[in-house]
Amino acid sequence: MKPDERDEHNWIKEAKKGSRQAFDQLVMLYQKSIIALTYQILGDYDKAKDAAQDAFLRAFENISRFKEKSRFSTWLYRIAVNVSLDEERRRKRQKTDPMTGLEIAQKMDKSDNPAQHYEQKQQDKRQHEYVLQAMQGLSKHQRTATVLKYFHEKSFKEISRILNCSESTARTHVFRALQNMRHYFEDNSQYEEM
Amino acid sequence: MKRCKYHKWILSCIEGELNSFQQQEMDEHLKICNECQREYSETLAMHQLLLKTSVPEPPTAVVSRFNHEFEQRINQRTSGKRRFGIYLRQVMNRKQWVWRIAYAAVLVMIGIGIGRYYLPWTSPDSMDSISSKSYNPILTEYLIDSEILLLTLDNSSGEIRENSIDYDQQLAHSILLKSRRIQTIMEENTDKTFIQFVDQLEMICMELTNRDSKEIHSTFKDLKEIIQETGLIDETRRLQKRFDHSELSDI
Repeated sequence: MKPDERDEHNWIKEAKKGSRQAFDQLVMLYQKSIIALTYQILGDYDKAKDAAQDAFLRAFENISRFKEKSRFSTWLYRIAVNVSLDEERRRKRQKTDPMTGLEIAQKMDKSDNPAQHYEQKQQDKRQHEYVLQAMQGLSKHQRTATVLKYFHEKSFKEISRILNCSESTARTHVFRALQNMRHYFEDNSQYEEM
Repeated sequence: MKRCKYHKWILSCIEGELNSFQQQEMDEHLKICNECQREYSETLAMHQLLLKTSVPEPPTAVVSRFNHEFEQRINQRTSGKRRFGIYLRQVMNRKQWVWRIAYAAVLVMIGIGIGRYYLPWTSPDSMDSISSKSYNPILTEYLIDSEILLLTLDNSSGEIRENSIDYDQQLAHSILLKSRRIQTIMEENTDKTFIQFVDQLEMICMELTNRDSKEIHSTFKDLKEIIQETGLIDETRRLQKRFDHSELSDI
C-alpha cells in the first residue's frame, strides 16, 4: 500500500470509529474532486457547493456503514452523484432555464481572480465549459457516466458501481453520449473551433 | 436502420479493450462497412476531444465558501442530541451482528419471564401445589377414614355386632396400608405432629386387626379409653382443618 493510500486507509478507519478529525482529512482530500463532479452534473457552482456539502454530510453520518468492499472514492462518488441527480430532479420541477456556455464563462470570470488567468488557462476553461454545455443535452445517466469516465478517470467497472448498473450499460451510456455530443457540436458549429 | 453487430464494439475498440481475435475481426469489418467506419471516426474524435479537455479545479473562492459553510453545518449536525444520535447510529451500524444477538437474547429473556409467571407448570409456587395436590386425595381419605374409625370405637358400648366388627377391622386394615405411605411422606417433610398422629392411629389399627373375636370386645373397650385419653378424634379434625387451609403446602 502506498503511503498516501495508507493514510487514507487510517483516516477511514478512524472516521468509522467516530473521529471528526479523521473525517475532516478525508474531506480535504476529496473536496475539490467532489465539487468538480457536482458542478459538472449541475452546471452551477453555488448548487454544486451545496450538493457537495450534502454529500459529505451524508457520508459523515453513514461512514460506519462503509464496508470497504469497494474503494472509498467509489462510495463517496456514488453519494455525490445521487445527491446531484436529486438536486437536478428538483430543479427540473422548478423549470429553471439552464445557463448558456457564455453565461457560465462570464459567471466564472466574476467569481475568480482575473489576475491569475493566463491565456491557456482561459482557453482550457472555455473548452471545458463548451463541453459541459454540450453535455447538458444528454440524459442524466449519459452525462454522469461521461463525466466520471473522462473528467474523473473512472473505469467502467467503477462507473457501474457508482450508477448501480451493469458494466455494459455504463459503456452504452458513454457511447450514446459521445454520439449525441457529436450531433450537438455539428449543429452548433463549435466543434470546428476546438 | 438496423445496426450491425460490430456497432457495439466501436467504443471498446477505441479503448483498446478487444482481444486480438476481436480486434482482427473489427479491423476487417471496418474495411468493408462504411456505416461503422464513419461511426468509428466520429466516436474516436469525440473520445480524443474529451480526453484532451482539461478539468480545471474549482475556483478557490468556491472551495473557501464550501469549507466555511460545511464547518458550520457539520457542527450544527453534531451538536447535542444530534451528536448522540449520530454516535448511536454509528455504534449500531458498526457491529450489527452484536446488536442482533443482544436483541434476540432480550426477547428470549422476556419470553422466559412471561412463561414463568403465566404458565402453570413453570411458576415456582405451582410446583409445590402440584405435589401437594397429588397427595391431597390420599391424606384426605386417610383422615376421613381415621375419623370414622375413631368415632366408631369411641361410640362402642356393650354388645358389638359381628358385621360391625368386620367392617371396623377392614377399615383399620385399610388405614394401616395407607399409613405406611403417609409416614413416608410425613418423614420427608418432618411434620412431627402428623407423624405422631399416624403412629398412634397405627397402634390402634394394629390392635384392632390382631385381636381375635373372643377378645375384640375388651379391645374395643381399651381402645375407647385410649382414644378419649389422647383426644385423637379432635386431633383428626384439627389435622383435617390444617390440611384444608393448605398448611401442609410443603407436602
